[in-house]
Amino acid sequence: MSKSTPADSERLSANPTARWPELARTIACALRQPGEPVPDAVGKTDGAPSLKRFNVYRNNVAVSLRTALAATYRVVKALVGDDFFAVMVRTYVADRLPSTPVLLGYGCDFPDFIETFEPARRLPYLADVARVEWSFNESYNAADARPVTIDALSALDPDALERVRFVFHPSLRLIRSDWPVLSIWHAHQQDDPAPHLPGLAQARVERGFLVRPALEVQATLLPGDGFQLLAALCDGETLAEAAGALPKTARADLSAMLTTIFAAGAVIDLAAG
Amino acid sequence: MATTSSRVYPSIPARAGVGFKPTHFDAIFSCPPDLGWFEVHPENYMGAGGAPHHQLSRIREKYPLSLHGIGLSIGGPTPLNTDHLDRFKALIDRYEPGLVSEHLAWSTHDTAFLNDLLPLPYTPETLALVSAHVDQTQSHLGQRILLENPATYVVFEESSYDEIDFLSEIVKRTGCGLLLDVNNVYVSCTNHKRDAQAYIDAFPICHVGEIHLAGHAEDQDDAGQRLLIDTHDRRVIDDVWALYGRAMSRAGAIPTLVEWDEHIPDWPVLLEEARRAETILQDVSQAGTRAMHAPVMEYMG
Repeated sequence: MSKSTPADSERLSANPTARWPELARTIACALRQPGEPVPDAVGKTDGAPSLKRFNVYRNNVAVSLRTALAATYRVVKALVGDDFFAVMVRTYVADRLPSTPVLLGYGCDFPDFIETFEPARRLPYLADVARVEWSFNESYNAADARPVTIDALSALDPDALERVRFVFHPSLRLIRSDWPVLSIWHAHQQDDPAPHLPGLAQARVERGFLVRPALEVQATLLPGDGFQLLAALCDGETLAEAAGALPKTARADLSAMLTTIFAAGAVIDLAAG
Repeated sequence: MATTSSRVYPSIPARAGVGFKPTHFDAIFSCPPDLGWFEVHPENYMGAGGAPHHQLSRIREKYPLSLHGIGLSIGGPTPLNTDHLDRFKALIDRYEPGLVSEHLAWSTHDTAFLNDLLPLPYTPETLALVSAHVDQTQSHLGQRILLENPATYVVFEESSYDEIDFLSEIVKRTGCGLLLDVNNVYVSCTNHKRDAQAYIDAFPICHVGEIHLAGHAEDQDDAGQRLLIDTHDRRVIDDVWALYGRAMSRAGAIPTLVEWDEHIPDWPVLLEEARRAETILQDVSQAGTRAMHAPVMEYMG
């Protein structure tokens, strides 16, 4: 075997007499500019450049990235339709090619992009639906962990209970929106391509979380006070601190809130304070 | 290259395998087929946990596995992404694949990943670059890799090597093996008006550790010339089966994968394609053209 080292490729890349880096740059640019002519050095066997042949590569780049985004943002695509989605994705991809070959991490800022995409303004909930889908994607691929039941909490003595902090499942993602986005998302999880969404497009605060206790990501709605409790516990507050910040009227429901959080499989350990 | 360790995992048998698709998981495990092996793209298993790893672990418990990378950009002028090599290595450590392969192609420019297998000119400059990248990959992974011949739609004026000579020289310089994609041979040879049978006959088959078969689409270019596109979205055509039979008659049985990545069919259809490859492999094994294909690990340098 040869004695070349990793540094060889870097030296080659830096070699000013090398032709390939410049040609690859020209090709990479032309692939991203649909209107540009085929780079001179690229031809077919008889030497003539062929736009249609070069466009196979252009098409592969565009379609494969659209397919990747469509897999992550299925509900967004269903809400806006294939054509609108294609236009939106084309605009997004033009400025934001993936930065790694691991496409399950591609599209994390698509929700922010949607928020600034003028033609999508008539669907004010669309960006938050996209945030649910990105959270789902993260939750789906997060590390595995085994949830504990609420018995772990019941087993603590009153002192320890005051000081306890929760260790949450790596797949836990909190959802908070001015729109019923978890309900919209949930309605699209069935096979029905056009679910009936009575009243879902009306502004209504919705809070909840996604978690994947085993292999399936599950969505749980958590009304205001429960969400406040969960968010505080996620921020690392002790149970006493988080519960103490709840409105007095909500404290009677503390046990029910905790039952919901544990039953969903969101907690994997308890740490002494 | 002294740094390449002789890592030996259960090898891939000289039988037919298929690309694993999550949509087939339930069908596969409702009645586990007598199939030689499975292959996946490592890039799809670079998340931390969840269903993808659960499914791949189940597959790996029952079958030999091959990892076929699509993201290293070995032919590109950009230095290899060492984070990506680390992720790849972690998967090798976890799943102990019998074969690891990549493409003679590029996909990353600067930091932008273009998500396609792009063509490169075959020159002394790119030969040195690709060889250095293959060396680096094998060192980093602690594993010999197979390099796959590409399906191409364009050629480069400045290419001074024939593709087979280029691949042979990379093998000589790096000790890597080759993955012969018979559909890519058919697609490229048709697109560039070359003789596919002659390509198969000239290919350095003794270095081939794996075969790929797939379906392709047919179109025409601006000049009305045939333009085949490597789509992996349908059955393997008869001409490609014939080329495959020709290669196997010459070489003896080599692990053979049926790829189907778009418009994925029901499981029985894919299994039927694999069975067709298996029949050809059994025929050549019985004919004893070559008692046994040299196992990949013999090449460890």
